[in-house]
Amino acid sequence: MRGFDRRARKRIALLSAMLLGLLCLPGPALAAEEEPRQDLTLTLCYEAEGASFEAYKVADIGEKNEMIPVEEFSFVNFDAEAEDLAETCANYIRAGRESLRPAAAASVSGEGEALLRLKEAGVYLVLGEPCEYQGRLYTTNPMLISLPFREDTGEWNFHPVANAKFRSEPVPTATPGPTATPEPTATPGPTDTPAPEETPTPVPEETPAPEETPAPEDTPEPTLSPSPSPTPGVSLSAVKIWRDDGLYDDFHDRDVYVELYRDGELWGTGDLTRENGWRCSWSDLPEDGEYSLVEPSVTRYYNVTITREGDTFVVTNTIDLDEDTGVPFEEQRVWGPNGEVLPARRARELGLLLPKTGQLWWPVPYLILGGCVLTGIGFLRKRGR
Amino acid sequence: MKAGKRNGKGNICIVGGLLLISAALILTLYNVWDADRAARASEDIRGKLAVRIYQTTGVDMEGLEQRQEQEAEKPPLREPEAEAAEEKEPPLYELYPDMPMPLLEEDGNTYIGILEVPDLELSLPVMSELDMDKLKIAPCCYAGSVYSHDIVIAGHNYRKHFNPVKRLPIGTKINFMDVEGNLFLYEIIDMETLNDDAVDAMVTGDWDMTLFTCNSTGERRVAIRCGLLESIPAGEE
Repeated sequence: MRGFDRRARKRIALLSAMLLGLLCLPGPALAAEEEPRQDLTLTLCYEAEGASFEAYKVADIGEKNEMIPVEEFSFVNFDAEAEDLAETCANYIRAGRESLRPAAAASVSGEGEALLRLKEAGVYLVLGEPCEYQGRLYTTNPMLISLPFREDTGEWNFHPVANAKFRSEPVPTATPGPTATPEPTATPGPTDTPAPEETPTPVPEETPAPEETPAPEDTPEPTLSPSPSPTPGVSLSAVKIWRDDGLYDDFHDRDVYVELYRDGELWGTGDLTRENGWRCSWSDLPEDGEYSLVEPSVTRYYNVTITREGDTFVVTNTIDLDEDTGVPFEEQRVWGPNGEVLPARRARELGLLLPKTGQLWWPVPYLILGGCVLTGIGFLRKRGR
Repeated sequence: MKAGKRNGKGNICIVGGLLLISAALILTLYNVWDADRAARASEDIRGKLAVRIYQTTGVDMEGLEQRQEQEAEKPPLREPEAEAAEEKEPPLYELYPDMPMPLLEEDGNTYIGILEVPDLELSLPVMSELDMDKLKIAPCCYAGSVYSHDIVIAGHNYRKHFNPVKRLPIGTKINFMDVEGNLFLYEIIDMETLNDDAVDAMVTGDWDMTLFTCNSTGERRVAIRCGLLESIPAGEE
């Protein structure tokens, strides 16, 4: 700083210090579209005192308020209905995946409220543990909520209050399963249902007998009666649906396996293959407990939704290609001549014909006619001699 | 000499003519034998499937028409019962019509159900896959699904398979039961003959079910188009 006198050097130093101080001050207010940072809480209203809730972050909120799944749920179909999405995420959480940890947990107070405190904005799945209260068993539906919550007025609500959806029933009496320890091996699918001879069933007197058919020589005549009462325990099944307009059969894994969990413990596995109609089932399961199903390895290019309809878990794999190579249209699939499945339009392009489903009858009249003519000619020639 | 030549040629013509007639006879006998073989094979499989379906679901197609008539004669449900019936959850195949049809394996082949034409007393198993060997045993699913209301079933024109079906009048009832005991009741609403390369035309359209088989010459396909009248979930019959 040669060339500046002492007074000037002091002024420059003072100005520099002031400028540096200004830079250290908090920045200007955020853009109008961004929400100001605040603490986030979710208050759940629930009548069962002592019930515990946990909140798991499943997605971030994008600039256009879209859900951007977190890595742990990147394979889940976030375009599904909210209920289905919640149920799918809940299945994986209940399976006790170690990487899935709650962002917050709370219990219901005497005032009937549970307060969940969260540190960052996002979409959360709220799960409640089943609990007994005043002689009844309370179970809640998994719930998705974004925090902060955008009200209808457009304002952000950083402390929303929600009623937890639940159902209650008298406490069931726990029935022991047919076996003391769970069998984690897969139960065969419906194609391999145990033969009725292995299960003793009473024969009702009024059982209508089907029309008699010739019994095969090597097998004993089967007992013609339905199973009138279910075997002890419950039965669950799983079915897979491929949603890809039938155009990406080549992408389907030859077989897929799913895992059945009971109260977070692995209870069984099942194979879903083309040969078994993409189905599997488990029987003689304990009636009590909360069952969930997961597909540990989702097929590449697909995402997954797992919902439950009665005793059946429906595992839906939806094609998830880029927009440039998206599924163009629905198309019927047909069987090719070599046992392959292909779109009808492709079959037409290949010049494939409809399968020949006729016996060879057309030559018969020609053969008879030709034979008669020839024979007649032969006799005439001989007679002409 | 000339007479000898004429005699020789005459014998050749006679032999040739008899050979042709013999060929026609052999072909006829083979076709009759093949049709009987196919009828026995499909009847055997159908019986086994029916027993297995009945034992697991309690549903059979015997006397279906009679039971439906009895059901129609019953008085209408009272209001609470009617409301309860309305609130009942729809079956899985109505919630997920694109779900794959369940299968039953029998003798190395997989089947999706049983097709029945009461007017013909015809009842046939339907395979889930199609190739020329399987068609010799039973009709096969060519495309689609009962659940998604677009199933197309191909069958040989054996006299105990689809040959009589192509002569049925419009309005004939046809029933299908899947291996879980769910019943689907159809009626014939249209019939058309297509060229053998009309793959698109065979599988597209508003028909809930199509059956097809070869015409008498084997060069074209007769498509029997059916509309769904009613579906009855297992256990609700």
